[in-house]
Amino acid sequence: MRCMTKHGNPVGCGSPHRRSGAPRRTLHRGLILLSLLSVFILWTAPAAGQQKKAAKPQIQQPAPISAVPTPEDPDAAKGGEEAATPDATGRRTSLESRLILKVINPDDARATLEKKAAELGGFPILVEDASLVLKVPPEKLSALIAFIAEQGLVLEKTLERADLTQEIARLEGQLKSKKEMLSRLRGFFDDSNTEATLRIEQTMTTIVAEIEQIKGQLRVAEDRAKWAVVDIAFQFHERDRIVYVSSPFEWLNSVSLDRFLEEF
Amino acid sequence: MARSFPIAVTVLVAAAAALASCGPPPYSMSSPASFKRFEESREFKWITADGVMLKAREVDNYPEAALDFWVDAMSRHMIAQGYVQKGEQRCFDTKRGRKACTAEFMLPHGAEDWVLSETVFVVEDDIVLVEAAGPYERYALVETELQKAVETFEPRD
Repeated sequence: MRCMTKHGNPVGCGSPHRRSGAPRRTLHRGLILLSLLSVFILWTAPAAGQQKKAAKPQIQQPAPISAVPTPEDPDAAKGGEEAATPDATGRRTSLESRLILKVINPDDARATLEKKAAELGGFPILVEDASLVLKVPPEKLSALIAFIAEQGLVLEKTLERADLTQEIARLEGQLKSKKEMLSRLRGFFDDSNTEATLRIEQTMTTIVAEIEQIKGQLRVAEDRAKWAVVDIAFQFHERDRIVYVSSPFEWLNSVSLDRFLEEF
Repeated sequence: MARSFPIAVTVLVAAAAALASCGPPPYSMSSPASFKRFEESREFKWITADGVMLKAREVDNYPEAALDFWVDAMSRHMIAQGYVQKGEQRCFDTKRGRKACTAEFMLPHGAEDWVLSETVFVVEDDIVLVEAAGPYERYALVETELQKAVETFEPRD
């Protein structure tokens, strides 16, 4: 026997007994369950609220931007590894400044700048006769550049800012998915034969290598966001930067260092 | 005899002109302490013990223009060639009230970075250039005395 709706669609049919007495009984049971549930909710709600209140002071606030490590604040330095440096808008940016600084005595200037960088919580990453590369917390970059300008003559100055938010988010996403993939593969070991186990192991090795690579890229990106880089050259980078350009004013074509030295 | 007279005059005038051109350059400047002048030279040249050089020369003021125009044109031309201007140009009046402007440029030369300083005087149909050059570290040591000396420079003796 098939039961049909008024539109002619087939529907499942119960026994005639269930059709008459069962709905009323089911309704009663439902009402009882609903009232029990309401009582339970009302009873537990204040307790949950109290728990929330009690737990509130334990919620850890995100580290403030000023928690970037400085020599005066060694505790901040410890936590600073994890604390990236999002700016006021929450974005992570890298800052890199390049300067050509002319000084009479590069050795003295180099020592002075290294000392100042240390005072600002930074450190040198490259020390050469003709150049010095320093890393400082991003918020100290302006102070360091101003100090550099006081040391001699700044011939060229560039500042590059790159937004790393997207790159870091992408790498974090990749890392998460690879880790999930790895844990899923681990679960397959139990029910697999030797050949399958070998294949799983091979895949896992590849994924582990990829995870390490992503971790490395992430570390680099986070480091770039955490430290501003100042590249100070005491000499021009390009040794042959002069190109002959003809001037419509004849005498100007005779003004050049080479001509001066030849004719002296 | 009568024919040879104009020839003799011409020769004498030419000789006088040649002698005049062989004479000392028509410039004067108080001696900067670290510099020595090439006394015997027909050119106005000075040098320090460590090789910072100074020289004056003349070029035509053509098309005729004022000091500001030429200093601006020179700065633009030098920067277009790859020189880096060292600070702002410095315009001043000499001790005798003549107007001049100095612009300094830097460039790599060999293993060192050099300074080329150009001080421009506009004297009627001529532009007088006082040029100085030297490696930055050595130039910086004599820069002040050089500036003071150039302020006493006179294009016409």
